Amino acid sequence: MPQNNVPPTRAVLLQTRRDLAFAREAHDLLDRKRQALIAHVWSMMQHAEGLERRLEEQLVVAYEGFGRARMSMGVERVEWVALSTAKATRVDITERSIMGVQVPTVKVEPRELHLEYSLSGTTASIDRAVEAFGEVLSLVCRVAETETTVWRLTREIRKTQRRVNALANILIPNYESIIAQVEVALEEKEREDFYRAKAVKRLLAR
Amino acid sequence: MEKRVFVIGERDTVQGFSLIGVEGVTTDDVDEAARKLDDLLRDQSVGIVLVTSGIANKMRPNIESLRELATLPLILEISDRLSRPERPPLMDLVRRALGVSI
Repeated sequence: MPQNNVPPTRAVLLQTRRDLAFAREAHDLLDRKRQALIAHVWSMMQHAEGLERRLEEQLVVAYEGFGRARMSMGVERVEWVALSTAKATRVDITERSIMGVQVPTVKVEPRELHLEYSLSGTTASIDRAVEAFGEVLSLVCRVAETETTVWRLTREIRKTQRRVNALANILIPNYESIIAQVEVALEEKEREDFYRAKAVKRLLAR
Repeated sequence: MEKRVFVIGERDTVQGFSLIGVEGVTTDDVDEAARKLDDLLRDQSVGIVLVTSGIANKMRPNIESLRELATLPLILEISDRLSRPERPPLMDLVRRALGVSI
């Protein structure tokens, strides 16, 4: 038990009791926050794993489609199409807050579908590759969103955990020991006063 | 906020994404990729950076710490034609971060 250098007065006792009550309340609140965050991360995680799997699968599909386009059009032609598209794809990222943690929401900006390449010299296979990569992109957005959310919430859980521990293991025991110490000191003083009063009374009675 | 998407890495991935209007650079050099990543992280107009696994696997510690630090852009690894990301599953990372408390 740490030694506390506090004057053993009634004022200190009252103040420390108030501090202790406050610390206990804070501990309960933070602990509840921690549990809520863990529940949230848990449910996000199931979601995230499914999305990651789907992204991997869709990437395989997209690469296959890309390979097929190359086979039917030739490597150079596909490269030419790739170079000629306007690099105008944008994603919309907004932040929202989950229990005070900023997490992103990511959406692909819908593009008006116009043909970026000429119909002559290209085959349907490139359309399918484009479609497959479009699907990849929307999955990428969702995976990035959930993964980042899981990460940030995890960091917040760690932070909350540290605070809960500090309150439970340091602050609260410390207050409790101050209270015990001051109570003992005050009782001792009271007894002394009592006997002093008795002694004085005896002296006066003589 | 409208943000750009950027791909760093293997040629097929970069070309495939450019079909749908996503910018990218082809590289298999770790230093070059790291420099590019650095530039992109400073660029306010970039929202998502995709790194293909071939190059990401070679600069793993770097990427992990960047992901922890950066708020935007979001960094994501995706597999290229030859390799998959060799990172531990998300579940493991979270478990480790929290102790096995879940």
